[in-house]
Amino acid sequence: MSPASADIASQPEQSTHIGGDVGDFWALMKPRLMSLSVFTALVGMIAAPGHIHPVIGAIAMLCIAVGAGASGALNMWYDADIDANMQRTAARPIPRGRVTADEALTFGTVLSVLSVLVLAVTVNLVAGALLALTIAFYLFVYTMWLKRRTPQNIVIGGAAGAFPPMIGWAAVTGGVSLDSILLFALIFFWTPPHFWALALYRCRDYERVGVPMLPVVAGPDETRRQILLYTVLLVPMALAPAFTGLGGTAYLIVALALNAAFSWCVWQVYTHREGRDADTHAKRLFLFSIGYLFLLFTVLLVERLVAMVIA
Amino acid sequence: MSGRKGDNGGSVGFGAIPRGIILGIGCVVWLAAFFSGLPKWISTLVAIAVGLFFMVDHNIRTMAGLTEAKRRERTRNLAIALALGGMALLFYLATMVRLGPNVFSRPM
Repeated sequence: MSPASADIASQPEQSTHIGGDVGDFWALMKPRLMSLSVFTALVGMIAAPGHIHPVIGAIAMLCIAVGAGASGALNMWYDADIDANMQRTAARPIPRGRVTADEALTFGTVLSVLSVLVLAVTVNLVAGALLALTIAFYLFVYTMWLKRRTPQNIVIGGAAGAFPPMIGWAAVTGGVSLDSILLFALIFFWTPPHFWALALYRCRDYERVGVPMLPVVAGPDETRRQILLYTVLLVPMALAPAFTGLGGTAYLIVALALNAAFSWCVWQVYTHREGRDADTHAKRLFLFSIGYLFLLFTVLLVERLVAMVIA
Repeated sequence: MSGRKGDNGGSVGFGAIPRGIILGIGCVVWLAAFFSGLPKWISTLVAIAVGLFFMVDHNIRTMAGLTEAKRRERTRNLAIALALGGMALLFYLATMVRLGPNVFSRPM
């Protein structure tokens, strides 16, 4: 039993617990995070060379969605104690007492096992193995090991969020290739600027619950420097698909524009360090980074779909 | 209107749709699909759809008047039932796609 479940189990309202609604279990699956995983996996699947039967493709997407949701539920189970003390997460089903920690654990475990087994049996073993690795990485490496121990938590843990396009790719090809690794690298290097921008203006939340996010441990200035460094690594990763054949001319043009805008946002965060301006620019970077990733993957998707229609 | 009234006086479930008509149409479509030359999966889907309709309808009709705890328990059970049914359908479809519609005709 995690510290989270122990704390939650001892709360007095557990005696009057009447069980969560379907909506509470849906919230346990972190629908927003799940939708990003599903979208990037879909792009990986469509961009992959080869063909997949639409029914098998739909099953693969469902399994990836359920697997992502399951890892979200397991994350909420383990982190329930800190979620209750953070403004951003206090309304989650476990801190609110709608779902018990044990229910979340059971729910997440059952869905994890089912999603991996179904993906492995109906699609292929590589995709199933990658999904299992993703869930295990998110739960054991990120949530249980890194998150409360090191400011590099989201750098290494970010790999879990980067796997979905590889899973989608593997569902079609049955393997891993340079292009699928590029998609992985794109999300991997995007994660630190994205989360550290959030951490910059939610610093007190993380400090209060003892999560060693970079701004808490190394300070906002070092965080800004790290955001800048990771952006320098991110830009070539974002442009690379245009040169490997994964993306076309449209992708190159959009990627150049988005990276210029992203770099500008990062520079604003780097140079505005005091007062309300600092928070405003950090928030702007956080929000823009979501649109940035979404648009890059959308262009890849549209380009591939157009090519398929023309062919 | 064949739908039973809920405690609040309003109709519950798919109250506006006469259940007898749904059952009748479902049976006719199923029989037609089963005995015509259409693929068997069509009649299977019809049977599943009619079964699902009655299951969901029954649950919604009897939901009114339950305590909050019972209502949540009922919706959870319904969601689990639908998920399990969906999984059965999913395996059926995957089998048809992977092994083809003549899977049952193959020698053991």
